[in-house]
Amino acid sequence: MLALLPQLLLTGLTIGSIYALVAIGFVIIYNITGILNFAQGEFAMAGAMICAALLGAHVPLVPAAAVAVAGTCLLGALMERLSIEPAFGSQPLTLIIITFGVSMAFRGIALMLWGADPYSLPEFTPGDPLTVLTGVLGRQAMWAIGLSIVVVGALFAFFARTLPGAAVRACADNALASRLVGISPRRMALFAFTVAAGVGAVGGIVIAPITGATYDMGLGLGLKGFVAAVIGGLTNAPAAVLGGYVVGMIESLVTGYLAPGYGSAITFALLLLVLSLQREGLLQTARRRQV
Amino acid sequence: MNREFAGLALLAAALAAVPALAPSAYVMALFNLIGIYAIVTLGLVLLGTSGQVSLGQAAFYGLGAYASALLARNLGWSPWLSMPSAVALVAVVAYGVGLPALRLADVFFVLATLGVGIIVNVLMVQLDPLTGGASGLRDIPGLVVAGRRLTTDRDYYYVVWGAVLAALLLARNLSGHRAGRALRAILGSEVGAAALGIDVERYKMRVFVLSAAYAGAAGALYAHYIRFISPSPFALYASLFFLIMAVVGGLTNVWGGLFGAAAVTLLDQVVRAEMPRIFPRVGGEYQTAIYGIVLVLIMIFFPSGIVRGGLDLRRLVARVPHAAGSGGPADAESAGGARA
Amino acid sequence: MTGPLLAIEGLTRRFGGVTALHDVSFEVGPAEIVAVIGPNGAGKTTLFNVITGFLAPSAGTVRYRERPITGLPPARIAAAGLVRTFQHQVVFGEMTVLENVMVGCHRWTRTGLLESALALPAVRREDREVVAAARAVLDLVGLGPRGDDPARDLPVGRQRLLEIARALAARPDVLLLDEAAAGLTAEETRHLVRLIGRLRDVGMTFLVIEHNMDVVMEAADRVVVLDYGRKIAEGRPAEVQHDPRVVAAYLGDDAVAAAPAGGGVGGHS
Repeated sequence: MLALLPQLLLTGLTIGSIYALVAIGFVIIYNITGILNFAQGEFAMAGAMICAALLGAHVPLVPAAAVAVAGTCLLGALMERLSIEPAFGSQPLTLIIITFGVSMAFRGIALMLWGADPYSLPEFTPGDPLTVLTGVLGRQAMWAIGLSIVVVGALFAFFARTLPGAAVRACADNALASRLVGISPRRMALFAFTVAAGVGAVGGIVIAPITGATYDMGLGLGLKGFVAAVIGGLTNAPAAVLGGYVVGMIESLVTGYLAPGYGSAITFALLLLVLSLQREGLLQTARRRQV
Repeated sequence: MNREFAGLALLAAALAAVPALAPSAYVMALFNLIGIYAIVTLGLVLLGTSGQVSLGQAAFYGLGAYASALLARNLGWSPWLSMPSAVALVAVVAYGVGLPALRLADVFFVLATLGVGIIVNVLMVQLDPLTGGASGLRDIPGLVVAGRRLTTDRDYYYVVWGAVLAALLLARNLSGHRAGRALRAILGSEVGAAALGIDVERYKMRVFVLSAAYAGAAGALYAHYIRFISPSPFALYASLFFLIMAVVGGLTNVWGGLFGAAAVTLLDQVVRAEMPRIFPRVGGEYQTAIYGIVLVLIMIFFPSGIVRGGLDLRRLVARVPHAAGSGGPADAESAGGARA
Repeated sequence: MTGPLLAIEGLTRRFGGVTALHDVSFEVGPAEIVAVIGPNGAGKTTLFNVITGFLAPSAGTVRYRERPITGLPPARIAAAGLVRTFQHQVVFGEMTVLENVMVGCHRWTRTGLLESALALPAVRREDREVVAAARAVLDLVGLGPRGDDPARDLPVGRQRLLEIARALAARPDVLLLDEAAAGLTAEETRHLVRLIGRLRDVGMTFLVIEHNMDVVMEAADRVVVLDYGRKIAEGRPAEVQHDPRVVAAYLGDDAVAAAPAGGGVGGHS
């Protein structure tokens, strides 16, 4: 039993790093706009699928990945302009339902474009896996974990160290005040969706060599990423990343020790638990956001 | 009020005429499906009357189906006993879910119901010995009415639409009397409702349980009608599907619920028939794209539903000559407040 | 019944480091009109929120008919007979004016969810009674002709009257009005003052927050003055008006023009 543990933890860490990237997207958009974006997982799907399609057209990996991320950013911006912006000022619930609608639309369009068969992506740097204790950590898994840390670090630096980053934080703290100093909440929303889409795309591209890329991979990633973000308190990016690892680990351990297939049930049981425990905190955030 | 009863009578008469006018099995099956979905949607509409939304209705729908199917199939209960028992079970489960979930702010309540929906669906797949796993349950007993075994879609048509009319009548009554006024007051302002002595938590819980019971009843009916169930029609996707039906109808409008269920089910038939011609390569849930876009468009342009959106337009138009006549500030204000 | 209907005993409410109410005590009723006045931010609305259960007090007790009601949820307090209106009027915009008032009748009607769904004869009977009662109250406040309009279509002042009508329809023992006259025309205000007086004469008790000093002078039997969360004066309107502490409190607050021609506290904010 115990011999399995290191491997399960490494697997959990790998998958958790992707949940972390999706969760960061949730947090960015929630902090800036107050919207829970359930199309977040679809950004990961779009990144992975575009990248796979380009690789299929014999584009080398690096430009393919770059175009995939940029293209997904564009999709994020389009989503904001076409579905969120026109409903600006609606009830939070209306906006959430809209993001579910967008997520359905993304999934359906991906199916039309690329079909239902999974695409496989090559590992970024093929080679022997690393052995950690008794577990095995593939090269791609290292990429996944490493990139999630790099992205979190970069975002942190952006928000903490740069002037535009400070402006975004100001907008998140107080929409009225930021309007007074000339920051448009609408432009901030556009920015949030663009960045969140890019972060999601990175996650999708880096996990695709391990799990494959399919049109419907976004739903699961989005929901798990959401649970991770809630565990982290929804407004705190580093905590959301931690939440991603927690969700990944739990899923991996449940699959390894209890029963495969119960992973998502346990994850969502955890969501319910966290929601009911954190409800004061969450309520307060929700109220603050409405101001 | 009398107009509504006239509408109900008219609907009943029209429904009674359908089998004679279009007796094909396809039309009957389509109507049965609409009817079953309409019951779930009516439950969502009742819930929406109090300003709540659930993304877990498919779970209650599925729970009703599985519970009634198992009681009738494995324990040999009469479906007429297993169906109400299943509804009662679903109500109890909903109460258990509501205890923690209803304390959450509206957005997080929705997410809790979503979580419950996913958990229930996983259990349907995983509890293999009981539920038959992914391959589902076969040979569910059909309904027997007055000693006669119902076999055709047309037989079930009368049962299903009898249930729909009953569900519609109950929902309409409820929204028209004291409890309905309390629910609508809660939608308007929970604080305002509480200040008038309305026990907001209690009403929200009761209407949540009731909406789950509606879904459970529809599920039980579905199980004994189709006589085969598997987890897939009860997944998250179905909850979204029901939500679309409810928002098309306006989420707080009982008649809108019926309209929404019919419109979306018919749209689904058209899409399923036409889409393969446009995209011959793809199978599966391609129609998702259409529903997603429909959902987004409705939420942007008709947040109170297409039925109500139309009515609002009519009211606005009707007001124009009046406003032109008086030009008073009250009219300007009322037109401006129409969106509030 | 002897003794007060409503007793506020040592009520304190802190928000973080700010003390919005500080050891406030006074008594109300029965069949009395008590006005709470004070500069903006004096804690008047906080007082209402604590009495009606929307806020928990940090210390102190509210007794109603000698039983403590602190800690009860708002709906229970309203059901017991204390019904309030809000400073920023709360109407159910999607419902008609008449339906809003019918919701007010919730307190003294009993039909439950299932009885409603079945529309039993008793339910219909009760509904007819509710409609009649609601129409009567609407006529009382002068909104009778607008019964079938959506409440959101009413101008702000009328929405305030609607909220009062809705609270009256609840047939409360104590009616708490938070700035009832704000936004009303002079004519509507006079009508409201007369109405309050008449209802008091038939036994209803009022606790009102009011900025309009003419209303306070004319309607109130007694005035409680709050400043920075403390009760600084209490007494008959004429006495309080000339209380030096009250004048100072108002002079210190530049939002209110103090000491008009008649002398003492005044100004319509």
